[in-house]
Amino acid sequence: MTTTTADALLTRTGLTGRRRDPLFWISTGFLAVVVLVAAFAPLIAPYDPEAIDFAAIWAPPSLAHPFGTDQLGRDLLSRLLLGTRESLIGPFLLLVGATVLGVAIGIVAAWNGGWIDVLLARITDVMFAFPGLLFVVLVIAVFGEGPATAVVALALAYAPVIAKFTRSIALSELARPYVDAYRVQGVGGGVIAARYVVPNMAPALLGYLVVLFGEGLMGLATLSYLGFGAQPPSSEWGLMVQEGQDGIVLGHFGPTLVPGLAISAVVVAVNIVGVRLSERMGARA
Amino acid sequence: MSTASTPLVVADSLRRTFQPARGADPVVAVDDVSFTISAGESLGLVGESGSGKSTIARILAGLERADAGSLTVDGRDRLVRGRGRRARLHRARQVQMVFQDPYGSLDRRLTVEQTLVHAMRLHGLAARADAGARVAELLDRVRLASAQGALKPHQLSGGQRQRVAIARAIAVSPSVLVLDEAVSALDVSVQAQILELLGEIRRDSGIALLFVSHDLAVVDEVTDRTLVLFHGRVVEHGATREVLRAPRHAYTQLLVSSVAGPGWDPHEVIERRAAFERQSDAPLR
Ligand SMILES: Nc1ncnc2c1ncn2[C@@H]1O[C@H](COP(=O)(O)OP(=O)(O)O)[C@@H](O)[C@H]1O
Ligand SMILES: [Mg+2]
Repeated sequence: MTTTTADALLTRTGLTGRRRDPLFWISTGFLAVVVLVAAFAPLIAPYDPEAIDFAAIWAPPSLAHPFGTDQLGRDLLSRLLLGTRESLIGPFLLLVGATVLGVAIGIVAAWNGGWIDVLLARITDVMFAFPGLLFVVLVIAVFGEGPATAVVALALAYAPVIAKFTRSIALSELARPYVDAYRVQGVGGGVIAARYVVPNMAPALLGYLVVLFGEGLMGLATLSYLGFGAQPPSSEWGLMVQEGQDGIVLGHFGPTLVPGLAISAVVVAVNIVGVRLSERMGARA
Repeated sequence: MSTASTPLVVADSLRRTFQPARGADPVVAVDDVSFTISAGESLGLVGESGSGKSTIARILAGLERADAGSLTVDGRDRLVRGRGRRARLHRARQVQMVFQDPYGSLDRRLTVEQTLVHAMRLHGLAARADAGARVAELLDRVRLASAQGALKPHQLSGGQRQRVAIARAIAVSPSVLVLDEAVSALDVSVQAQILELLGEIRRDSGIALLFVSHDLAVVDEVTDRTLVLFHGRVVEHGATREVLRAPRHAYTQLLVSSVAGPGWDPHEVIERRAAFERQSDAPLR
């Protein structure tokens, strides 16, 4: 078997790293907990996240409601826990889609040059000149609002950015003689790119993509906040922030603060883990 | 099929022009170059940097196309490339190549063993059951310890990496091995070991070599005949002994007398270069 990226991660983040880098391990542990929460949310959540209780509107934190309740008396902890799923799966799918598309375009542009390269340059020029949010709103205007469209729209917005980054690192990677060595062995161009060049670029790509995950999470939350993404009664975190706003003027900060902090914490943790992982992989490569 | 009368490699009037940049003057890298290599023979290719050595080596290895001329190996045209996997693999089994940069020419993600197994599997040369035995045999042929099979390129010395590259090349039993400055990046003592190894491989397998180097002493060591290139043209061609000990062409005389050694006088070399440039129609680069 060839060494997979996962193998590489395991061997390269061995026990030695734990002592030297507590921040990395705290972040990793936190993200592991978040993923477990997402998996088992219905079992852990004390209440039905959509259960309205007019007797307990904007309740402050208490034993019954550790994080308090929102404007409809729904338990914030339960909503936060259940919202983990939509809040994380969205950016994940968005990143996977944008990465597959962007890496493929970027590597083809680097390998072939020609019209694909020119087209990519034009598209990225337009994307950079064009406000990203405007593009996304346009896509949503055409295809209708909703979480799926929001994910697709953001994926389409990120793909050229990823493609441009991929192209730049692919150009130097393709110049390495091991690529010629594979060609001399008779390996086809597509196989060389997909099986050997992309994994060799993984350390550099990973650090970049992880930052984009954080951006994607915030981007989707923003779209939900604007009403273009997740729809009520979902407890997607961006939507929770938006719905909680009415309470702020009345002094009820919990309904915005709780999901807002959750978004921030996940974004920060993902960034720390991603940057450290790519540093470690890069250091050994 | 090659017979006693037709050499293994027949290159006739090869020509290759590069366009360095849009609108720039084209560079004639290879200009009307013809040569033959018989089975088991070793042909040297010498000349200053930029004289077209690598381009010829890469054309023979199938990494570069030729604009004009013909090239056959074992009677098969190598310039008109059959498409598809079968044709590609067949070409690969005819000619293999070893590159200058021993680290860059290995896939840094793979262990030595994985690299060799990959090369053999691609050509259906190692069934799962006897892959281990084949790898051990190859490691032994290039004088690497079997324990080194588990190492990755970054854990090897320059000489060991080049042994791996040689093992990878001979894994498919090619009839021609192209070496482009294959020992130029190595220390002198390591160079000697690799040259000795190449000698052994030639004796054992009867493989033909195209040995590219700017280092005349090294070429003297491993080649039977030598081609001297100047600005993409062959200026002298003959038995290596004669070419290096009794050079006839002014450029070869210059190359031979430019070699640093006891009694070497840089001023004299510079002066002779200037004299040569004055009398030749093309300036030295
Ligand atoms: N891919 C390329 N694009 C443009 N010019 C090239 C390319 N490859 C080689 N050349 C040019 O062709 C000439 C011969 O190069 P090369 O074959 O690498 O010489 P050598 O190996 O003897 O140093 C040089 O002038 C070089 O700049
Ligand atoms: Mg060269």
